[in-house]
Amino acid sequence: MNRTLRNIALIGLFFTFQTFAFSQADKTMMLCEKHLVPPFVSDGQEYRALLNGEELAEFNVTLYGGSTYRIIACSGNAEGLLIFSIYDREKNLLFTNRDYKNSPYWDFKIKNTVNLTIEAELEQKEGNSGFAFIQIGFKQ
Amino acid sequence: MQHFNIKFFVVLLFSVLIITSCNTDPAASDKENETIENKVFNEIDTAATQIYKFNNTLFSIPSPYEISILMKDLGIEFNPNIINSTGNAQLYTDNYTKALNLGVYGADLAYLNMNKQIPEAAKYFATIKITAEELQLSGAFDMNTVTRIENNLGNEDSLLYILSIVYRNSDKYLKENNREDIGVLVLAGGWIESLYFLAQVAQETQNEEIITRLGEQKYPLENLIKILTPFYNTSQQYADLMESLIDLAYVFDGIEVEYTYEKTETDEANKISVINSSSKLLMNPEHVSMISEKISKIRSNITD
Repeated sequence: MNRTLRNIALIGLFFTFQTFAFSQADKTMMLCEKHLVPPFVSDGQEYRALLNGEELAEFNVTLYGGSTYRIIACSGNAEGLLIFSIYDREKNLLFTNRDYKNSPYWDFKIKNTVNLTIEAELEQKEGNSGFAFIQIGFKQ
Repeated sequence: MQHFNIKFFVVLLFSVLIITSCNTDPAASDKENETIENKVFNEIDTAATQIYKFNNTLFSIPSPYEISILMKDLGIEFNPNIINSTGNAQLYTDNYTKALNLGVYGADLAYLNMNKQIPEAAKYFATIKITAEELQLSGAFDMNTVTRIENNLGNEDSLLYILSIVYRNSDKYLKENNREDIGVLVLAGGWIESLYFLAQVAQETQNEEIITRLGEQKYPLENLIKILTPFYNTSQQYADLMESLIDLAYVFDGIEVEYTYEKTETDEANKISVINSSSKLLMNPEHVSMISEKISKIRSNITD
């Protein structure tokens, strides 16, 4: 009986924690979404990765030549908590928001179609963990 | 002792419920949240790893809308014969074909919308709504969204914006509800339909820019295969789809890409950077016809 109740309590705790996690994630998403406004249109996908400490998340993207994109990066409950850096296929650093006060979004005009890797990491690494959200919008 | 344990867990459970349900000032509760957050994330990390990360690498597939915009910008004439008939929707009886064709119809709707085919677009929207409901995705199509879409049929920019949100919400909903196996199919269906459009138009017009765009699908295809990989053993249908895409990837492998790095220019005041690096594709007419043939077959297996 005791064990059954304990299991029920633990399951309850797990689902409560899970609901809380999703609600936190939704709040972070809202931080991102406020920058994804016309004339930018979402690419229809949601990119999220859970990061612990110094972990990196990689997002592989193809951006078409002649288009302008907005890349938005969010984590936690304030702006500037996620650093994103963009590399080309030869690992040349093309951009990092670290150079621009961790700006939560940046626009990119693409001259020729390129395949890029976006790396995302938490600003505060020690003992920290959280979702990294990236959103991509293209200009209509 | 037994009573103590029961009380302890009940009190603990209610404490957590109170902490999580009270929407207090975020700054004031940051410290408590951080501790809970760490526990939560540890739980989620072990319980639902597949939902959020695939070795912490995520893969993007360009939106089907981008292809439709591109074709319109190049002045490519509307061709009603290249889209999938809504009449075929009755053929899709299982979740696998419904999900793939939800992606297909989404790409079709974008194409119709870009070409101002309003009555047809309304028909496709109705089919998408029914298919989404059958896949229990009605959350992404709440009444407010339906009304917004109906009011904006004909306003291509607004409709594109609203639809992109609908598809993103569906993607989010499926990921959060352990239904990524369905989400990847919607994504795959949309990409396959877009590639089919490009291949058909490239064959018909031999337009250089369209041919280049076709070749540029090499990387999105690699990404799509990586996205589908964890689901290979889900069923024979998934395995067959993946094998057909891998077969297509062999053709794309024959296209050489010459990449040249150029320094990025940044305008800090306007928060914009110009990526000057370029890729040149070395393609021949045989690539175009082989891609066209293979994608037509893949698409036909999905829609017919």
